[in-house]
Amino acid sequence: MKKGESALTIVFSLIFLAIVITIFYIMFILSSSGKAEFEITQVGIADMNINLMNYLRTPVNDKSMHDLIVDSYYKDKYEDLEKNTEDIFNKVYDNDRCPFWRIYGKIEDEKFFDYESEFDARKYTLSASPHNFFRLFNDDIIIPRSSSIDMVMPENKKAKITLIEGCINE
Amino acid sequence: MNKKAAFDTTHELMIWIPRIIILVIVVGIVYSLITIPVQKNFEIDTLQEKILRQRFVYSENCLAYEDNNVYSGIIDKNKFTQTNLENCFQFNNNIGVNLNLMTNDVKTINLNERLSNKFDFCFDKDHFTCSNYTYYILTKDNNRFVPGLLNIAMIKLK
Repeated sequence: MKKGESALTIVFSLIFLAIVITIFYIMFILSSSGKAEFEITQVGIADMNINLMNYLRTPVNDKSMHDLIVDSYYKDKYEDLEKNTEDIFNKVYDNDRCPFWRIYGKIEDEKFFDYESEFDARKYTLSASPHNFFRLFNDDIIIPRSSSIDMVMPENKKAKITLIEGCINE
Repeated sequence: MNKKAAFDTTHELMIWIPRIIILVIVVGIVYSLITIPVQKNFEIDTLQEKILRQRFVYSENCLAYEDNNVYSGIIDKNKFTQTNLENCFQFNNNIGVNLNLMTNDVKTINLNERLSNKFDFCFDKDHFTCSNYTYYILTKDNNRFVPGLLNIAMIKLK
């Protein structure tokens, strides 16, 4: 083999090696990045579980919010539920850091109550199919997170209560 | 050195120049591929703050109310003391915490004063990581649940 040919072989070998390493590394990053995201999200959601759990535990006239939800459903009277829910969550979620909250209950995939903050996050949606984030007038991004609890109702019915909060990304 | 030897040396050097250039490029690519993603993957400041914040409301050694069971999210007001929270916090030099318990009255506790009075510097995202979350909590008062808020603000030195 001539000198020039051997030099060319080494150069192309190095380029080939670089390409191989790059491909393997990109594959490694793609396969590992999803896991990290998953772990962080799980921890984040746990914050809200406390808020939802305590909402259901909150005492209202010798009953709890849990009982009030059951009563409201069977009596088809939702005024007290709406008032108490708004009183609680308007205090918890202030306008600066967490301007958006929404809570709804579903039985057999049908909503029987649905309340939310006055802040309408949909106005700030970036696109028709957003990846669950909203933008305020400045650079802050509001990230919605949700948490659900299953609740046992009379007549063997099961209600799913879901709380969504929209807080500015810290 | 005769003419042929000088020519061979020059020729050899000419061959090595592209090799060295390629080698530098390869090393550069490999180095950047290794360092950039690793820095991103190990950005755990926010996660660390979240875990610590949750310890305050989930652990019976911190604020969670307990009789025979532990009630996560229900706060024992008697545990909201400087000494108890310092024990639970397990002093970390790089983290400052400001806790505000708002029920019928407002109580404030700062942990690690060196950092907990530096929340004004949170705009400096290169040096500090900050978080702030308000929990809707219940406190137990004479067998009654009293609603309130627990705000936990944290600042971490990067």
